[in-house]
Amino acid sequence: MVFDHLRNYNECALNALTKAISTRKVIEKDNRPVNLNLLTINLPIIGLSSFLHRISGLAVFICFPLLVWLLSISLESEERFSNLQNSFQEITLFKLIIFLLFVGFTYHLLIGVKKLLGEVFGLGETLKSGSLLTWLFLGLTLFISLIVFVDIFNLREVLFLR
Amino acid sequence: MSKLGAGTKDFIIIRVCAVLILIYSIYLAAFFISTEGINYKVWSSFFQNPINKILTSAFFLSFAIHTWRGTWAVATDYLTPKFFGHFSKYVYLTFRLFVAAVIALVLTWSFFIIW
Repeated sequence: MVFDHLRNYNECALNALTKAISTRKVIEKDNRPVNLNLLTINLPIIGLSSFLHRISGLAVFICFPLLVWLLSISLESEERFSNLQNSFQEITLFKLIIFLLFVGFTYHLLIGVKKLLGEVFGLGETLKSGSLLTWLFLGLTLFISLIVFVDIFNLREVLFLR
Repeated sequence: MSKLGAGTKDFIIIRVCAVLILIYSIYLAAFFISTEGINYKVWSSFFQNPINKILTSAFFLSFAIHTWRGTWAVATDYLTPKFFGHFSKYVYLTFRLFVAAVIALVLTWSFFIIW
């Protein structure tokens, strides 16, 4: 739990360092191998989701001006609003881009909540509980995405009526 | 707060902004779910409501602070000499400049849309 140590964080770090030095954990030259090829590392789902958290955050950030642009069009006038609504219904690519942005944003939000749960309450800080919690939030992301997918692409009739 | 280190302050600020973004997202999602068949009248009156104007501005401000810190964390991890050699400094600076431009664009544009 991070919030336990906020007040005496520097002191804790110093203590840990002096302890490591006195027990000779720090060697003069660090000869540990460095492996940066992610494809050769068996990354647990916690690490993978954390990596994707960064990717999704960056992707949504870069695409964000597009959303502001759409907001500005939608609030300009009634005509432009309905034009926008029509093109959204007609152009599948438009729908797809908005859907992907929604999935990226939802994923980033939910994995962020998962990280906060760990930091504030110490939830999911072991390999086992962390993996479980990550799968739970991945499932939640998938669930919300599926509902929105069905709604955006008007699949409700196809799936439920008949 | 003044006794905390710079890193700890960043740590707290990025998370406070994250929670604000989360709350606004839930609020907006609740609006979409509760409103059947959104038209221009409903949509524009939502953004003309003074409370929603303040909340939306707070969202964009949180977005700016959160992404400025978040992209810094990513950039200092990957735009390093290990990946880019001598050019890493310039790659890093170009990326930060690009991020600053996007944030400035989003902030000013959203300000003029809302107010």
